[in-house]
Amino acid sequence: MVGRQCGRQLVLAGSRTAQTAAEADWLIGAGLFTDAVQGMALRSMKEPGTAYDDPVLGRDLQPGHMDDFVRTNEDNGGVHINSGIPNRAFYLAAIAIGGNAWDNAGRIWYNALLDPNTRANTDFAGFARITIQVATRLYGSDSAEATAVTEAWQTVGVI
Amino acid sequence: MATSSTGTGGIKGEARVKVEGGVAHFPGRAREQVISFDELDAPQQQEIASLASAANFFDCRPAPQPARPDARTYTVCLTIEGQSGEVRVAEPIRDPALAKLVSAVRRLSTGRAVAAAQ
Repeated sequence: MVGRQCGRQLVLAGSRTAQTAAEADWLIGAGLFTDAVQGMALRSMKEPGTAYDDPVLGRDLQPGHMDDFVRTNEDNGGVHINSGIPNRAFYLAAIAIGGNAWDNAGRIWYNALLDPNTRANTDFAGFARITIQVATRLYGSDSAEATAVTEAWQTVGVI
Repeated sequence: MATSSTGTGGIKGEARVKVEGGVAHFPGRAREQVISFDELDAPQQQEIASLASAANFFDCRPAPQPARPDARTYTVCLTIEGQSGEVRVAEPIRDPALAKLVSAVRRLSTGRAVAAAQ
């Protein structure tokens, strides 16, 4: 679950050239809907749950905090629903670090994906710890990056 | 499951389809769609019945497939002239006849879902 979602985050983070984290819209799938659909995109990493509200598709159910984690047997356990939580964590980390999302924040997430401790069954908290460890290794324990990543996961209630 | 009557001498039946997976979860599209044969015209009824027969729907048991990232899973339940069956199958659907049946049921159900929302 974590790996699939983070792969998407990195694709998104690098998909809009010349846009800093602050300038990006943080939408996944912006422009995919026709004018007949009441929605901006498939997902919003900045504000999960706000991407669409349409009579046919329904309302975007993505939570942005663990308090709103959706327990369900649908959607392969809610993989496309609860991904709003780590999405928002990445957004918060990238915004706090500043610059291009695919530089420092993207590097941390990418290296965390490659970390041998990240496995198919790694949960949100487990992946959060790995990103913090990677940020610490790359930039130091007192770095702005390590602090930003830690606070991002805390803000979304994962740690 | 109740089987509807067409009242016109047509085929009696009902089709249900539920789609899970894909690149996003859309609550409106994830709901089970129910099509009574009463709502179909005779060629559409015949199409579903013929495709179900070609796919050997009521006796087929697709082998479980491992989950694939973003692949959709279809749960199709048919009742035709009192015979009921349910099949759960994930993309890619390897049996061409079953793939045609799933496609036809989805096409009919999608059209009705959009029309109902408008």
